[in-house]
Amino acid sequence: MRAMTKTMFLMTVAMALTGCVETIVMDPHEKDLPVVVNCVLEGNSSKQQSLTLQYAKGKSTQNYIPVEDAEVYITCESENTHKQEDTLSFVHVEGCLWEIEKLKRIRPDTEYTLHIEIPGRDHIWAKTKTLPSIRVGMGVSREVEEDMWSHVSLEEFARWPNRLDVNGSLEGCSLYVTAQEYSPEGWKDLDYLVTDHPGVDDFNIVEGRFSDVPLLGHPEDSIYLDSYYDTLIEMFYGIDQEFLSGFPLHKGILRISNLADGDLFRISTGPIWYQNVYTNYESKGIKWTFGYRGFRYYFYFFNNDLDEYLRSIERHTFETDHFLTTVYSTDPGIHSNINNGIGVFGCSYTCLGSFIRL
Amino acid sequence: MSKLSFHFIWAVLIVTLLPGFGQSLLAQIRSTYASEMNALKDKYNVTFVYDSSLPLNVACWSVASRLSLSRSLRELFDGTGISYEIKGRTVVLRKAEASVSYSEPPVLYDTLYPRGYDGAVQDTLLAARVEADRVVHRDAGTRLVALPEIRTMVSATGEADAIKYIQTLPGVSTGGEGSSAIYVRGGNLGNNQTTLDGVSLYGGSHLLGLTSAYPTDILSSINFRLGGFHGDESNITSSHIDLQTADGSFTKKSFSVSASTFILGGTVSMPLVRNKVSLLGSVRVSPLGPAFRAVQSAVGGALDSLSRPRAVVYDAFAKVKWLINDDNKLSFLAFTSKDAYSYVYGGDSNEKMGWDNIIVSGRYEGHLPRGWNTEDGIAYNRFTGQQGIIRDMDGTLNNLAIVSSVDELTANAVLSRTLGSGGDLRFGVRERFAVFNPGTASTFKGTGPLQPLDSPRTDHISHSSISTLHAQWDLSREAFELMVSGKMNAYGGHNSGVEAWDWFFNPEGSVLTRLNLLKWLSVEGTVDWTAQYYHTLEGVPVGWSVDLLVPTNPSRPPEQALQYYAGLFTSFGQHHITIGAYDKKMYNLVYFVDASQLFSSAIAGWSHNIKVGTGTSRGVEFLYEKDGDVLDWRVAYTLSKTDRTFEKVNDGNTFPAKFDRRHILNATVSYTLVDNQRRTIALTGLYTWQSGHWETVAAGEYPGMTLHGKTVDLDYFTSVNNYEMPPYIRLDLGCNFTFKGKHLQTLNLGVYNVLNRHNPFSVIYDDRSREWRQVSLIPIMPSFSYRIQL
Repeated sequence: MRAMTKTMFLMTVAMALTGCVETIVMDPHEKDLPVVVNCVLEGNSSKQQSLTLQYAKGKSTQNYIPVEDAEVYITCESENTHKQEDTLSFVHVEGCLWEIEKLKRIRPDTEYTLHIEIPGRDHIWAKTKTLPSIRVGMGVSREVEEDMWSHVSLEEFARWPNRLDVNGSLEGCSLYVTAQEYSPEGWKDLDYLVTDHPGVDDFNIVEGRFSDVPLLGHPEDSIYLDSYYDTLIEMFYGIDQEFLSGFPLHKGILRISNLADGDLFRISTGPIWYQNVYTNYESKGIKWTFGYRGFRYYFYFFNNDLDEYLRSIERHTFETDHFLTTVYSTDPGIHSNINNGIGVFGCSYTCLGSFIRL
Repeated sequence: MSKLSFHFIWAVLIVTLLPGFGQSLLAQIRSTYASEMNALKDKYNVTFVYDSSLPLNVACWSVASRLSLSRSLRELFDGTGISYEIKGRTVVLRKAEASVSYSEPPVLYDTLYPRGYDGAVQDTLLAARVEADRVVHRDAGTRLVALPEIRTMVSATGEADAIKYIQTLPGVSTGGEGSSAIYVRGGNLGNNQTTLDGVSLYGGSHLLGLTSAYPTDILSSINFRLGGFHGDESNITSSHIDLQTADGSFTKKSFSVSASTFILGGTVSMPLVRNKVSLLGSVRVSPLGPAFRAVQSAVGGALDSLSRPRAVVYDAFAKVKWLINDDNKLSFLAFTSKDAYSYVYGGDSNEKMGWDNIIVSGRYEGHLPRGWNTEDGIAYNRFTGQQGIIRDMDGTLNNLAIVSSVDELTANAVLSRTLGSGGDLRFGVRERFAVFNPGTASTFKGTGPLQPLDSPRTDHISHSSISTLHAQWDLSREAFELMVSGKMNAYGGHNSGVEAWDWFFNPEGSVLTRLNLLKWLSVEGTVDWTAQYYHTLEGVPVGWSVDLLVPTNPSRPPEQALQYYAGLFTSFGQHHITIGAYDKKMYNLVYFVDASQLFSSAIAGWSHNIKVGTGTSRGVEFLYEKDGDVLDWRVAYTLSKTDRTFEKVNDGNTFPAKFDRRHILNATVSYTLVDNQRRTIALTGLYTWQSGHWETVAAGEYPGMTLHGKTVDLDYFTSVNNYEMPPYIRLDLGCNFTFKGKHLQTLNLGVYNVLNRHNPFSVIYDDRSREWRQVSLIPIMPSFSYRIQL
């Protein structure tokens, strides 16, 4: 009886532990995979406008196939007459890269339409509205005072005559911030950022608060800063930690939405290394001079289309591997505004700001 | 590796079941006409006058939680051969069609009160005879959940579970295999509300959704209402699982002990002051944690990617009821439950999750002059869900925890009165103040699942208030029945850091009507316009209580639903058939883009990922029940179609809801082999066939770009919910033994998934073999339960 019970038990265990996963055959829908378009109009006047154009691939396929034979152009209309005012054509450069044929500044706060015509395919198109001109101010005062280093102010650039038409213009965009410091190996992304802006997105918060972020490479090591710069850096952290100490750390990026014209808020970053800013010329660190800018923020302003796209990708890639969800696949909701295709047609404006200007 | 681990944790759960040393057990509590009359007498302050020869001590279904006296009486006596008549505060029972002359004496008592009274009037009427054929009447919108049937059902855990019974009813679609998730008439999981004596119970499941967080031993009745909502039911758009707790005994002490592989439990029912104060208490704990570790030590290496599993699972309940005097009663209730799990995954990721419930309530029931009755209560309930990960992220040890909580304080007052031939009137006021804090980022201390959390890093605190005025009128006649209820809600919401309150004013209303065309044939219908002031951001659809509950605000307006139902009801002899059709439109439904990241810190950014849209559902529901002394069966079939539309999801195109199962068939049968004074032996079976649910399957990949200009491969989906999984088919067989000796014992033996069918849970793509694979969870397994009453 006992042997029989044991046999039955083992048989049942065997059944329990096998066959939980089995191969199924399904139509992978790999026919007519769409064209992938990634086109970001750069609001900065000096930048070349480009896009990438390629076909999506089946899961079992190794490489993407670029689109080389197509007619690609963007148009914009006058807001007053609704007549087409401008047409800018792209030419194929190499692989999937296409660049604009004739360098021309993109108009701010204007709706552009992207057209892609590929033989045998439906007309691919997308619309996006470019950003208004935006000015970012940092450290408006040269005096050493509380507000000196960590405040950021946003203002719509006033010189555009159609400013009234873009009332509340910052509603249409989001701000992404990253931070870097210069190191002997070059520019290095800083791990954490923090802000007191109420519109900050918490999708990438990690353990800790800003008060937990240390200054690395303390000058009491063998080499140290002159007391003046030591004081400045200590002040930088001291002030920020006084006002931002309780705020959570964001990994690598700050995303701030619900921006308003004239917003004034603090941001800070860390951890930074003393030894990347010191006066020893001989071995370690970076040689600095007055006005040295070894720490910088990147401010990226994205219009809604690009913001939704990038945010969905950053969120998706931030932390996806979890034991409890590995067998539960969902559409991560990567944004696309391309009609008859996938990808993004958006607009960005990028600027730099230095902090701890020595 | 991760997929293997997932299968393994389920295997561990399964293996812990196999030795079968346990059981759960549950008593066959059958109500009688006398006890139901007692409950109605207490509730409505009425006196029963009847002929003592009427067989009132025979078994019947409980109607104790019905809200209307006349409807309760109708439910209780229609078709029994006993007719009733309400005369003021007196209910006269007599043989049907008998002509009885009765005049109310100046002082009247009945024979049902536990204490005797001198001068009690008995045997005032002529002898009555109970007819053999019983006509059953049921509300179009309400399914009475039969506790005895629940307790003999075969389940994966061996535990009796109301949700598992509800999943076999028409209009109900189930979530992931083995789970406690239900989707009623096309609604979302979060549109269902479970209440314990009227107090919301948000974290309703134990053991990763395998069973419910409350024991059936503490319940006197369960009503499952999916239409024709009552006046005091609010904040619901799909269904209400109305759990009514039992009272402890006022006269004698009794204990019961139960055990199963997953749950060990005990209950006590006793008078604290004889005939005055009673206590009902229950405690259950789960041996899952030690079993988990035992299996791991036995299996060893196969669990390399999943180590140090821990689990703490328990619930406790206590209710004290005080019969102050004939007209006033007071009861206090406390309930708590906890689920906490932790494990190390992949050697470098210490993961934790859990949820807790606390309910404390006080309730007063009293009889006022002129036949008025009052029910007043105040309740506090707290639900907390938490998950945490300690993970090495680029050299930084991150031990972020995400905590969500809901705190509610509710006060309500209800007045009711029987108007005689004018029906029943019931109205009241309800105020609910709530504090929501979903997706709060924090850190946790220690390595165990029970360690406290420190102060939050971020929070999303919001305060809200719902003030509701409600009224309900019931009118019951031989030819028809009518229930009309209306509510007016004033909702105010306020986020921390924002001074202004947002206000919403929403009326709600329900109408239930039945027209009795013939003695055996009725037409019935309901219309409901409902509103709900919180949203549930659903993750893994298995009913785990880790979904985020977030309150309404201007960007997430109240969910609302408009539902119509019309059908036919016929009853002949022991056979009862209902067939009807519904049409439902849902507004301001939410779609949570982060569903797959509900267990990661990315969830802290939940508020940026909510889409608001609409849903529709249409269907036909069929229910055929046969009640007999030896053979019972029930066949439930639903044909339905449910979809969703969100402006920024699926390019704005309508897509099927994830659990839009076109066909759902459930057939249950119970056959009594032996029924005598010593024992009862019955065989039970459940067969279910359901269309597969929908999965979102990637058709390919495409390159995406990150902020830093890197290229990442992204899955390409043709549409949301674009692949229908194979049908879900399962057969369960069981045998129920009841031994009626000195100590009542119940033993349930069964086999879950007799066909050992690998039913679909999800589908994954194996990058190495480049194949699609279907994941199944629960194979064939034994089910045991045992209970003894001392």
